Amino acid sequence: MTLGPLALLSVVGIPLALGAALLRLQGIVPRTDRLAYLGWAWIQGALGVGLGLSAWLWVGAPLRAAWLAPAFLVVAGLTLALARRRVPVLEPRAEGRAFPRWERILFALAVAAMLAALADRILLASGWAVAASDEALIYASKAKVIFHAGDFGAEFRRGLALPGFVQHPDYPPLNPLLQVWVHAHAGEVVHVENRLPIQLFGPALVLVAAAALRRRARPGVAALFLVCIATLNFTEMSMRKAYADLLVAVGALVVWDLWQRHREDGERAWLRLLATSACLLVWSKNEGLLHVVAFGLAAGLPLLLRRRPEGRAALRTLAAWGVPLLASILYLAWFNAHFGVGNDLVASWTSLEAPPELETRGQGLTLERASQRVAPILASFARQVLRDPERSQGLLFLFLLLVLLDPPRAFARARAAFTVGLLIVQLGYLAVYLGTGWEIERHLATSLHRLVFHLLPAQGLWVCLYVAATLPRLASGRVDAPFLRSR
Amino acid sequence: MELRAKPRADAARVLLAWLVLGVVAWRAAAGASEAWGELASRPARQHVRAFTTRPEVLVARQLGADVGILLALRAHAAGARELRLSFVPRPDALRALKRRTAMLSGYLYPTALLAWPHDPRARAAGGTPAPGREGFVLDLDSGRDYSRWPGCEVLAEGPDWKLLRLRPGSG
Repeated sequence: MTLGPLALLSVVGIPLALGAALLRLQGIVPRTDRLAYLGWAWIQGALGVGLGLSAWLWVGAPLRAAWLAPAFLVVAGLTLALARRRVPVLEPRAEGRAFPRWERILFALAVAAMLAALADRILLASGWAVAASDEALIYASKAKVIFHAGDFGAEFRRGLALPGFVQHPDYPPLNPLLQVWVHAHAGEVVHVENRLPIQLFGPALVLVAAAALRRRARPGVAALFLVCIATLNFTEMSMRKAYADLLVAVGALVVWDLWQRHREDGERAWLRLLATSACLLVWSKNEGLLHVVAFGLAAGLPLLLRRRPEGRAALRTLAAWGVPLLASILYLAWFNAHFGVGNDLVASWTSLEAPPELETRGQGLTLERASQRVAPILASFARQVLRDPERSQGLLFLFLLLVLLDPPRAFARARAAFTVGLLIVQLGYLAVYLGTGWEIERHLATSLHRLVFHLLPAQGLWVCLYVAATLPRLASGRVDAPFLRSR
Repeated sequence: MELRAKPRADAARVLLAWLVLGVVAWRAAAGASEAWGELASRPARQHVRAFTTRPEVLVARQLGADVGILLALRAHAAGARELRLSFVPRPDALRALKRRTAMLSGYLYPTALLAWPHDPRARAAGGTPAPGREGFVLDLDSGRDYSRWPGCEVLAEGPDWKLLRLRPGSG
């Protein structure tokens, strides 16, 4: 280990403190949801550190933890002071039904075991330096370029332009920025601990998923779904490699869980948290933008069309707290344009300057090309649904099965937006493959399992909602029946 | 009719929900067992390797024999902005070369690895040395004839590589 205990404490503790302050600004305190709180705090804090570091790099201030850590602590303190004076706290809901002690202990054990398993995987992964695969070529390389440049100036531009060093330089920068946060603590580039802030989204996923599942289902049932989500092939893989796909999966789960929470109890604080947490999607991977668009179409558009005052009020909250999200989308697009980097998929449709390894360049998105791809895309997708159960733990299969077999429940008012949103993302992903400039089999083989993973935790929650709605004895009793059962 | 159809639909839903829960329980059991099996099968020292092994050793393990290149570069070319990579662009070896150099360049940054392919046939056909070449060169068994650079100096070498310095004006 290069970092000492104090530095490690700062790497983890300062984002958590910043996240806690940002949560308080949105009316969320630990007692609002004791289980999800640390997960939400990590998401908010990591985003806060990413944004803060971006601003820091534009200013060109020294990239040293001795400067950065106090600055973030001051921001957290000021935010907390402001929030405590002005923002009311969202109190927790009344407890649901009472369940046997053994069942509650079983759930607690499941949460603890999943957290321990992920923590152990982090330790195992830390026995290997970052060296190859996407974690090195896409994310760690960009982090090195940022850290050595020290700002977003000419040196950063030179590093991005080095042939073959940073792959996909257009990818959103949260993952590399969080690695820079670690480098800044070490005062040099490190090759092991830099994974840590990304890996911590694994425990965050477990906590957020546990809270979301337990809110709707009785402890024993919630434990089963939680184990499925925590042992997904890619959840475990994300502890070994610092990919950004885990961040998208966590973001999608949080967004849809919070949306359902708002539908269930009408609390506006969930919408505030939803709008700010959605930034995680766009700061993590380009696919995150598709999730945001899908949410806008499935949940936002109906609110816009609805005439009822509560719908209007919800829309106003989303619009007001969605400003950081909109600003993020615009900033990230500008950032890429400023440094002359772009998405190679888009380049393959529009330009002859796309990377030479692309199969087709500048040929546009033709119907003929797309039609030749339908069969391999569907075949690969079917393999993801039906084969390799450890990849999806059956959650994708169950989601699609329930949508097909029971559309009245799947598209009932209480859950329609959730269902439609997940389907839009799924279709959007498949549509991307129709127009890809990469050789289709290779593109599918290297990416489809990642894209499927982005939705799996949210699909797990969706399936759990269905089970709790249909079998009331298995529900938690915390959520009003109509919002589970659907009308 | 409608009254009879509704209970039937509800009964089908209940059955479906139990089946779904059965699949989830099966997958949860399988997931937990796989996770436990994988974690328990590893020797204890692997779980604490991060605390017991220095980071340089972890990097060396990733690089294998190529760690010699990294050490040579740190000893002789620390701070160099660029390092020319001399290699023969054989299509069958390109993938392995790419992987090898990608790993190296990750540890070498901010020293940038710049490709300097050497095609022996072109050379035999009477090609002349590129003018003004200077700085550090990592030669991966390319067979390039450095006698054309009189001031060229071999700084270090390993089984299939050489670290050289081309002096200004020697090209």
